[in-house]
Amino acid sequence: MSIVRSKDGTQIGYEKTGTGPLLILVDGALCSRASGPMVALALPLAREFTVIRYDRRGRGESGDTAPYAVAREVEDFEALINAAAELPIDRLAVYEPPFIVDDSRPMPADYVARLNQLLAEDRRGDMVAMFMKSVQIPAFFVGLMRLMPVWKKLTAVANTLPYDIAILAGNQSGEPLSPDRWAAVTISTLVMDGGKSPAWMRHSAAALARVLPNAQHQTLPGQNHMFGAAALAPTLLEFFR
Amino acid sequence: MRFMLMHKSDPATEAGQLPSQDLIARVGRMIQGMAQAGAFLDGAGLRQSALGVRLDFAGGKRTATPGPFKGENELTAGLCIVKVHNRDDAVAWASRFAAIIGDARIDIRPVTEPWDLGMAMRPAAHPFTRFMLVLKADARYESGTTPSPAIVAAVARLIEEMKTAGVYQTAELLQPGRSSKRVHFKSGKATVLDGPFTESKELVSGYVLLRLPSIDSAVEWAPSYAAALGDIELDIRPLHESADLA
Repeated sequence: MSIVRSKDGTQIGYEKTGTGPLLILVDGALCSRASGPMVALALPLAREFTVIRYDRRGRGESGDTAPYAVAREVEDFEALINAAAELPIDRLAVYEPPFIVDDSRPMPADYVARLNQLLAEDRRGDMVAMFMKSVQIPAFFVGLMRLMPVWKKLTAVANTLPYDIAILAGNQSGEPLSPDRWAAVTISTLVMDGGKSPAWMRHSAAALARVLPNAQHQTLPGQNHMFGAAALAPTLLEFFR
Repeated sequence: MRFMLMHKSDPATEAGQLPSQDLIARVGRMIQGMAQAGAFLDGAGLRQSALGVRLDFAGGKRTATPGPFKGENELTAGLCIVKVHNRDDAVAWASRFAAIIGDARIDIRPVTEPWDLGMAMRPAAHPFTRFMLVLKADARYESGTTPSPAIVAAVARLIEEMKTAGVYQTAELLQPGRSSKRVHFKSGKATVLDGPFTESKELVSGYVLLRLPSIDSAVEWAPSYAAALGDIELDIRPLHESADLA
């Protein structure tokens, strides 16, 4: 593992593998360098790219300096790019960004308040369970996850759930994405989803691809939100080459 | 108080049959129900005893008998879960433990992992398996004698070493059989027995750890357990808290 300091002094732990142009993998909710689908994805990508995986702030080996702001996470990303000395970013790929653009995933009105309340009481297991329920994972599956080693990894980063919601601010309201907000993102973007993913995620991916000025949309058959590296890697390699 | 609900093996699991999707879902719902009630702390299931090895330590000598095990004295005194590369590593840690406590019988049993149930891929980057070290009760333990301060301290040092090595998952010492209850289900009908238990011939197949106000409230969870797993024998065992032993 290597360490870079973000602009506010926070330590960001990362690891770099492979050779070639720089490719930074950014984890989704509850994932970190130790856990999540990016762990396996780095291997095939590293054959053609210099791949950086890192712990987003509040997770794993990275620090977490209060107060949180989305801008700090952007600075973390800048610090990683500077450490690798490669600009500009010329392509972007996203897999199932969790916007809610219609009524396919109702959100409880007090969702964030309840998460913060549980965090204040250090009830991390309940935070993870509440998140899992909100993303429509069946209750029995959440029960089984509690028996698995992954549960400790999930609860260890439960403190960052409010951060991810902050990043999504305003885009989990069930309203269509406003084209104005996305017009400036002219970078070439690949928006992906899985053919077996729930409707709300698939609608989100399709909506994002529509509002981005320079995006293409691709559905990976047979995949869900926890994508398989073997399914995703060829699509990413083709896009980034 | 914390209670361990330990269910016993049945012929199907001993034959190596993996649970049906329906059974897996019922267990998941039971766990989630226990969690929503604020009681659930931890749990694990065990693979068939044929995948295990039984270690007998006597006079500093170790005898290893590969599974399957015939049920003999299967009352559990304590357990420890380790995350190691293979069964030999688990045997080595069990031997370190026996070197501290003296003569003992310890079964080494692989813990059911999500990939055993087809619920996840075995992570290529983490080639670990969890094993449960099941320490059997003996007469001294059943008499209620707690370990000496020197032994408690030595075990604490061993656990620290296991943590540093990234091996340690959990360890618990159970209170003797006389503080326990056993619930036996037949055709869905429950019979509750008070300990001590002179006969304990059923192999342990897994456990759930709950935080509850009393052993009676633990007994109240037994019907949900039977609803998920069918006709089972379930031992309800209060745990020693580390403060009791210090």
